[in-house]
Formats: sequence, C-alpha cells, structure tokens
Amino acid sequence: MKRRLITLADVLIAIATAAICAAVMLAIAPKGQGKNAVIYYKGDYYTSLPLSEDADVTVKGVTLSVRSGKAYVTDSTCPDKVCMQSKLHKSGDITVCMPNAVTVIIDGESDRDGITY
Amino acid sequence: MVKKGLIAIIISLVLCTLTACQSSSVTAQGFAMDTTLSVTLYGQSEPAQKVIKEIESLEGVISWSKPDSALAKLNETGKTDNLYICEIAGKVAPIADYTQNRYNLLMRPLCRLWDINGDRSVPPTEQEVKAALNSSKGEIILNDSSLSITGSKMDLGSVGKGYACDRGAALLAAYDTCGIITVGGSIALCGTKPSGDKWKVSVASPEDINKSVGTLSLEGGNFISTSGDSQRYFEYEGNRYHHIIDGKTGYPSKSDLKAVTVVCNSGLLSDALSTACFIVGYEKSLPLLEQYNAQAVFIKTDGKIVTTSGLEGVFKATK
Repeated sequence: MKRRLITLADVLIAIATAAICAAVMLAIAPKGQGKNAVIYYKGDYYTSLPLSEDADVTVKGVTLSVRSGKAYVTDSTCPDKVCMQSKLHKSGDITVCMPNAVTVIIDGESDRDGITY
Repeated sequence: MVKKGLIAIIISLVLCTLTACQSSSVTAQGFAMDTTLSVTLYGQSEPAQKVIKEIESLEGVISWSKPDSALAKLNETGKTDNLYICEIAGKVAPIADYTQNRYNLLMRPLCRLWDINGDRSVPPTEQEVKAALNSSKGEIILNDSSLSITGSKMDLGSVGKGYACDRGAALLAAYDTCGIITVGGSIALCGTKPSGDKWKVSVASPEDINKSVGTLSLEGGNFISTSGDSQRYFEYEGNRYHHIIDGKTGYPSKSDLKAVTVVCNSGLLSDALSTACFIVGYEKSLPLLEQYNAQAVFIKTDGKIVTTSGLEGVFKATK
C-alpha cells in the first residue's frame, strides 16, 4: 500500500477533536441573548425577570417593571428614588436601591468589568 | 512529521478550549455597609465567598451602626487598639489636615444629624447644624498601636468601602486567581485578565449609573472610588442636599465638582481622596492627588470632564 501523508483516520480524528472542543466552548460560553433582570436582596438572589416579556415584580418595597426589553424601577419606598433613574437593558447594567438593600443586574457578559459611581 | 502536525493541531484545539474555560468567570454577591458587594473571579472561584465573608465581617468592626463593633466601643470609651481603625485613622490624618478638617473622620454628630442613610427629607435648622458642628470638633491622638479621640465621635463611612476593597484584595493575593472586587462604587482590580486585556471600568454619569462618561483601562493593582452629589441625597424646595458634609460649614459641601473618581494603589486612599477632593474642588485637589501619586477624573458642575495628566491614554471619554 502506498504510504499516504494524511490518512482518513487522521482527518476523522481532527474533525472529532474540533467538534468536541466546539461543543465544550458553546456549553460554557455566556449566553449573551435571552437576558434577565436578576434581583438581589441583601446580596442574596431573590428572583429574576426575563427581558423578553413585559412583567412587574415588587421586592422589599422596590417595584421592577420590564417593558419592551428594558427593566426599570417604577416605584420604590426609598426617600431619594435614585434607583428609579436608569433603564437597564445591556448585560452588566445595574441599579441599586441602597435604603431597601435591593440590587438589580442584567445578566450575561458585559462590555465593562465594573462601574464606579 | 505529518503525524506530529496532527498532534500539534489536537493539542492547540484542546488548549484553546481550556483557555476558554479559564476565561469564564464566576461572580459572588454580598451585602455590607448598606451596599451591594460583588467578587468576580477568573481561575479559582472559591476565594470569592471568602472575600465576601471578610468584607461582611469587617463591617462588624468599623460600622458605627453595629453596637458591638470596635468603632462603637471607641465612640463609647474614647480609646481603641483595633488595628484596622488605627491604620485607617493614621493614613487619613494627612488628608484631613490638607483640607483643614473640611474632610475628617470625626463627623459622626453631623452625619447623624443629616441622616442621609435614613428618612430625612427636610434640612435641619441652622441651630441644629451649629450644635452638631460644635459637637464634631474633635481630635484624634495617634499612638504606636492605639488611638484616642476627644470632643467628637468617629464615622468611617467615607472610607469603609475603599478599605473593604483593600482587605478583599489582600486576601485574594494568596490565591492563584485574578478578578475584580466591587463594594458599592469602589473597585479593586486584582491581577491580569486571562486574555491579557486591561480591566475596563466605566465612570458613571451622575444622572444615570448605566450611562458612561468614559472608560478607564487599567492594570491590576489599581483601586478606584468615586464621590459625588448624586448617590444619596434628598431634595427640598428645589435644593439638593447630598451626603458629603463639609466639616467647616456643617452643610453638604459646595464646590465646582459634581463628582470625582480617584485611581490609586490603595482602596482606602482612593476613597478618602475622592471625598476630600469632592469637598475642596478641582484646583485644590491637584496638589493633594500629586502627593499620593493618584489620578482622577473630574466631572464639573458645568458638565466639563477633566482628568489628571496620568490618565492620558487610560481614560477614554464617551463621545
């Protein structure tokens, strides 16, 4: 038999390895789409709302609403209402109600590592 | 030779996958000092919970609101040998001196009067402010490994978050990991990202935390804190009363700054310096920052954004 430089077995092994690696990378890749507004109370996970569906939830005096893909605090019992300033939609977007100890973060991989405020 | 080539392809594919696994991160959340904490780590992820616990227990030492804290005992007895409190007081003293005590750590009576953490929605009377001002004229006497206070009570709210970043970063240094610690708006950047890229920190617009006035691209070992008039305040008859009190007037400070973000190699100093700079304003901030080899982004009340020269190429303003 003539000696081939690349055998069929070599090609199959290379394809199989690439396929396995791709599958692993897809499995651990952050899900950029299908984002959620994740609500924490005193640092503990409380609940989350998907941005894909209009909804409202009230957590410890803070009402979070999702409308047309954006999450924002529509009501709060806190005195300063700082938490109501911002509309959240990008991964990493955040709003904090310090008096009520409620934090809302949009999940997924963010283009920022942190926000200083 | 071709077989070796095939093996090389397989090895590099596997290494790429492992790198992708390595560059995924894990975040742990917590709550202390009235604010949200988070620790995001690449590599080892177990230290994240340890850092959260360390910062939560630090609150038990330096918070005035915890009745058994070392700080509460200091305010009760006038003395402490607590290492954290002594370290903080010692390092902040020169900054307080520079501001002629417009910024200082003995303002508990004034902080309590203005009660920005609470439900105050009407400013105190002039008489109330005068009385609290007189009760806030104290002195810290630093000894080798202890300190005493006279004439007032200590409040570490202006430095707690930055100091917590220091404690968290020190704990992380013992682990083979890299990541970012956030305590409210104070941030510690630890190590180098697996990708080799610099850390990207957004400087929030005072009007909207998710709108950025610009981005800082920084290496590990940097700490960032921001002080401004938009984080905690109340409004009364068209005036905003924010949470940073001027120790000279007894009222929320007034300067040409809406916010200032300080970058330096210590969380405690970044927090103390951002508060001091916010109080004294832009011009007086510059020599103070230079003394500490610190850099800053200033958001002025007229809307202009100015940075110290060391941030050229580091801070990219949002167009």
